[in-house]
Amino acid sequence: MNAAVIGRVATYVVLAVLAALLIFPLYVAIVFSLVDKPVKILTDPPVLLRDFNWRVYPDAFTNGDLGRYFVNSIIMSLGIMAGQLVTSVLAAYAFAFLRFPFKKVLFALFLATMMVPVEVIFTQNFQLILDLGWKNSYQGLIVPFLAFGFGTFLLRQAFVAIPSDLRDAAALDGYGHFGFLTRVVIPLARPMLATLSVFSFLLAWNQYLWPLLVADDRQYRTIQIALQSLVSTSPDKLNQGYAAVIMAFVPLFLLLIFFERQLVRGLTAGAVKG
Amino acid sequence: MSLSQTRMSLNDGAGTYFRSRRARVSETLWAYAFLAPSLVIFAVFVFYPLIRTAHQTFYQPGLYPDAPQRYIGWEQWTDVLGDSDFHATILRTLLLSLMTVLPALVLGLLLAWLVNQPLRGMSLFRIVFSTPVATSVAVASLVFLILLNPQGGILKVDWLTRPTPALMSVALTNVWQNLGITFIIILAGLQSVPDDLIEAAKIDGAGPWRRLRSVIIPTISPTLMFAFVILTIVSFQTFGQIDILTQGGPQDATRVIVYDIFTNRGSDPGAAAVKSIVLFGGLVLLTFIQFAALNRRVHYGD
Amino acid sequence: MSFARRNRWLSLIAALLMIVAACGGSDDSDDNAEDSTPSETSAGSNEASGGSGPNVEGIDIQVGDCAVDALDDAGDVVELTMWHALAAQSKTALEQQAERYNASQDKVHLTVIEQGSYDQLQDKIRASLGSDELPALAIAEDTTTQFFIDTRSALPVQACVDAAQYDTSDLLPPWIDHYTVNDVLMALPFASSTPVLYYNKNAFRAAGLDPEKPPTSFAELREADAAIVESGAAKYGLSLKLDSWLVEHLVRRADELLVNHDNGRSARADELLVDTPLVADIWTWLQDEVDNGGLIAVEDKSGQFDHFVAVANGNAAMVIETSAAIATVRALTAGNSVDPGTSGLDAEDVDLSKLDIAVAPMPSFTELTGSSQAGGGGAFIMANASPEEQAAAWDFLEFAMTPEEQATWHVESSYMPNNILAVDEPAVKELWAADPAFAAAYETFENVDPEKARGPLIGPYQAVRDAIEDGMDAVVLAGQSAADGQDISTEKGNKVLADWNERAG
Repeated sequence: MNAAVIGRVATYVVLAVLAALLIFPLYVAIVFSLVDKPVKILTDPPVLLRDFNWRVYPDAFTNGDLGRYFVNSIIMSLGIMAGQLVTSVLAAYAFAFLRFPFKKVLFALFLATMMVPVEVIFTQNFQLILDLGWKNSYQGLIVPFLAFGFGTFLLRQAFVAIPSDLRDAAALDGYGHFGFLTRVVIPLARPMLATLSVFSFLLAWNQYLWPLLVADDRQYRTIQIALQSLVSTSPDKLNQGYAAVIMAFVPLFLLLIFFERQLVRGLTAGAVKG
Repeated sequence: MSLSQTRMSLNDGAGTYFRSRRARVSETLWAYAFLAPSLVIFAVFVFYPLIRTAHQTFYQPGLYPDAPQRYIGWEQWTDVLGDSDFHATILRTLLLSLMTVLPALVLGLLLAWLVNQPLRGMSLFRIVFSTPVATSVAVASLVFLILLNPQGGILKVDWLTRPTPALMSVALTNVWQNLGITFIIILAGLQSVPDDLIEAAKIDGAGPWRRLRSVIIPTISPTLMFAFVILTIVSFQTFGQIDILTQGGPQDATRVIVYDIFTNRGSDPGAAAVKSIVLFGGLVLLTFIQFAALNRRVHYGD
Repeated sequence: MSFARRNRWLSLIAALLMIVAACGGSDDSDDNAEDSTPSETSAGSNEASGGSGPNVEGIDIQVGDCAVDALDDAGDVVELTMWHALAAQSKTALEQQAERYNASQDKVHLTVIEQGSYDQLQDKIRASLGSDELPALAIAEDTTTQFFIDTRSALPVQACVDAAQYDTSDLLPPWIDHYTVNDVLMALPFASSTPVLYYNKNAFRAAGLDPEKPPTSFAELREADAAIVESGAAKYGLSLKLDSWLVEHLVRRADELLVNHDNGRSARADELLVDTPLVADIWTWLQDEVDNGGLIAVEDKSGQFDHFVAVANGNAAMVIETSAAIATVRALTAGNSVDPGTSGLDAEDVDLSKLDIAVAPMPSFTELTGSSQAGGGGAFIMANASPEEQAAAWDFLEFAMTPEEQATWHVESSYMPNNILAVDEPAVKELWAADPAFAAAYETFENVDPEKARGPLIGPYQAVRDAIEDGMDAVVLAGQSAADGQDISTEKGNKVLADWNERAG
């Protein structure tokens, strides 16, 4: 064996060990979720799957009323994602292609919103939602997040990279701003739009603090909040609690498998390379 | 890094499309029409609440709805800023940030570097190492609860019930959950390192370690900075992990600023507002430090 | 430990887990009122109706109007929503009671919504103040009375009592007194409970202790701990959650005060009185007992159930917790799965009947000069509900307080029968004969001077509890001196009280 082979084997070993460590917590959660008798989780936490029972999953889904929470999370995440795409595309277009007064100030303002995460303003924002009568409603979950500074920034980066002769060509073809945007810019920026969609969906799906405050009614509760209460209030049904955890994880994991390359490329093109 | 560069080049592409003087006014109108949706949302749901929060720092609301607010003035600020519990909270928040950001950065770089080799099967590892991206705060925290729970935890450790280990447990959960995005960002950076740079270093006889240290890391420093900023902001916002794992305990050992605001928002809205603005100040400061660092030392070509 | 034996512990764990689930809050009570026949009865001593005691200075309670007749004029069925924080058997019992109520009449439809723990429920009420998100009726923790007064968010039940000319003299006097402020009854006792000692008779036998003579004082508790540890019957004697609630009850039992101004009942409390020899003794006792290895103490946080698990897995033989869990424990030890098919528990799998969990009154720290403290959950009617909803809430409460309903409630939920006439109901007599545990908790309040059972009035009760627990944790868990712990609690508690009073104006 030459040194290169040894090096390669060593790399694989290191990778395998790191991968195992990284996956271990999720693996244990899966084991827990399949345990037939939840009592055993507390007395003798299983590391290996022995008495597994697939029924836990449908039971968890039914008993935990997970369907409703999933639907709420999906409505919220899709709503935020779609809204952010629209507002960010429009704003990014203005910043990339148009000249207008206070452009720098406004762009700085957009970037500045990144310094005001929901954690800073949630008390007053919540008060506002109460005043609007939006507590326990989809609009309360969605509307505050319908604009996205970072998304605007990412798209603007992509738009600026569009070759200038295309703009001239579009102008010659008689396209107005809207025509240029919809027929040239958006098709060309599709990879970045995909990246932004995934990113935006992920962030919305994973929200915790805001839905905890705004949607305390079961009817509007999101899956993230439901998970916490499933696990913490039913120690006698931990297997179902963790089945719910895994079920909340899997859709995003699938999304990740399909879009991982896209995410890497998009972030490379947008944020990292500038 | 990218943000500052963008600022500097903001006008590069602008105004080259519809140049005619006649179109100026219409261009402005179009621009504002396009910006309007975002601006309305930001105004109502970001800046207005921010101003209300700032205003609240000087007032204490009464207990019942519609009760008159009482003006407290700067005293409310000095009370909070002089409170030794709050000092401890800030210190704790910074400590948690440190324990989150550095390990995540180092591990993310290590993983990305290992995966970014021309070996077979790397796409599998790439998926594996990206996995935490698909976990939410709730999922990550509940998963770590399995490992760390003193009764019935897999690791049979007593971390969540003792102050220092409890904070470290929260940090560990943070690191794990953020490792995915860190890995993805850094890998993206590595993939943009020109091959000829690496080749040149190889020809110079640099081993893998030296290549990493003297060629790769300097080249991807903007990426690392980006990851650093994202991680720092995320770590400042840590809330769900604490809500699920420790609820600020034991003995306030994991009471970081956001959790502090959350639990005090009802009992002491004035103080909670001051703390919110302090958190905001921290984020602003962080951003400026980032820009300063960027303008000073980050250079890269493309 | 043989496998069979191990299995038994598994089942006990399961049982105890259910207790955890059962106690949404610290303790609770329910009550039953008979609408017509007022009668002299045995238990209690006070004339319940208006309550007694001094007026709280500087607090002005607007009684307001309760349109008890509004239901007659309401055209449609009135939708009534009730929030609560009960769980497990108690939650089921409440849901069944709601079903019975809905079946009993056609003017009101009651929906009960569980809102997590008592703390979470209060947070939700606080967060929704002034909005239309509030229900018409809430079973909130008894400690929230002053909160409801200060936030003006409750319609004092007194208004409905007056309007309906309802006689409260059959309701548990200590609790009526507990909820009465300035002669205004703020809430009806609903989920009433008290702390009790759960002990494993098997462990007592193994340790050579008399299983029929559980400890009645903390001195005896220490002896029992030592005997249990020494004999190896369990690793620890006692298992405890370091809950402020425990301190509050021990203080009340010694006839001492938790806060100044007569526990906040003559004027707004502005001083936390934990800097006393009694509290120092309690905390030192706990600290010593941890050091001796007789006590396993865990921090109070939501979802904390390690203190139960300790008893369950054989680590400890005793635990002090709410009486409201008796029904859940009994259901399990009888071999009934509380939630068949989902908890994975069934009688064949784990032999729960071999558990020998008995219930005794909570031991006293000093010679018993006071009384157990009235506690649990009270039924508060919300001020901003419509007159129809308020009338519906009152209608349900009248239904729930009848002796028959209270007998069922007591049997099914193990909360106290709030209507003292319920103890004459056959169902209750039968239950008490079969299981003295239920009677033991109730007896704690028989022949008690309500004045001594009345708990403190504190606006920021939750925050004061946090302050007390900070000091207690510092002493018991972190090994600081009692004096240091008392300083921590006093400083934080006084600040919390001052902040609140400032906001109250």
